[in-house]
Amino acid sequence: MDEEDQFRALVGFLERFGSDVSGRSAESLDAELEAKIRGLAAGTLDDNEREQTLLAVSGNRAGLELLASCLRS
Amino acid sequence: MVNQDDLNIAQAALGGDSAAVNAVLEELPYSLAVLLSKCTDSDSEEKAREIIEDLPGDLLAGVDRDGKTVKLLEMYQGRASLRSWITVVALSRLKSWWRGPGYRKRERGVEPQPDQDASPADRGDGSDGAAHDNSDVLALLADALSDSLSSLTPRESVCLRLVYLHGVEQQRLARMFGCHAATISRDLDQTKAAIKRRLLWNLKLLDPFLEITWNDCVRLCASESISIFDSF
Repeated sequence: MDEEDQFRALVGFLERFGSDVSGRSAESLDAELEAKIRGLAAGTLDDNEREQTLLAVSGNRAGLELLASCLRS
Repeated sequence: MVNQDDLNIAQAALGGDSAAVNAVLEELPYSLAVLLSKCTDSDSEEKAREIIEDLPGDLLAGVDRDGKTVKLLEMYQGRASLRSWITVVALSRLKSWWRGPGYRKRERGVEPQPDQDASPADRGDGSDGAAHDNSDVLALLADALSDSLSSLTPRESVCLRLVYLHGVEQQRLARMFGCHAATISRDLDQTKAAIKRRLLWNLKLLDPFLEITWNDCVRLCASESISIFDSF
């Protein structure tokens, strides 16, 4: 198993068994946060907005999934 | 959170609330009773008492890590009751000591008795010693890893999960942050190195007797079972 696979295993483990790292307590996405996430993915936020949005996304699984989806598309 | 009351007590104790500290310490006689119930020789009983005596300092006084004081109780995540969590930590230390060279009884060909009553109030039935050994470590691993990742900045945490959970290409992250892909790669390398270091350090804090390598951690993470939490 190379290092990339090792970290896939670790992060996957935390998603299954971790506590607040993936933000299970904050699953919902309001329209304002959704717009910020789309702006983050597009690279259009200023530094302050970007840091605030990253903070919100780091504790919100749905937000992270939306960000991932925007970046992949 | 199922164990929110216990989590509140732990956080209050970490903040110095004397009533909460006492509430944490009041769990120790129970943990000692569980450990002693598993001992079949005086050496093990002595070690069990030593482990419990060391716990208040480890839980609440803190140890230096990367220039910051870290307390063992900070790794309690509320997945199990506080009583059960402290008992698992203590039991893991005893089991690791049994596996180590310091335990002379094994040399005489006598194995410690398997788990039977890890938590009379909380446990499920059908525990088996060997399986529980692994799940004990998994329980500690989940806490140690959660703590390692919680110490990351939001940017570090998001980048790590985008790349390794959602398969986002680093080039896309570079575009999002307006930087070169090499910067993202370097930042991820630093994040991964920090996680490795903190994870092994946290595990050593949880169980100083545990002999576990990075590859062991990865192998356990790749496994599907963490049955010990099911029994709490």
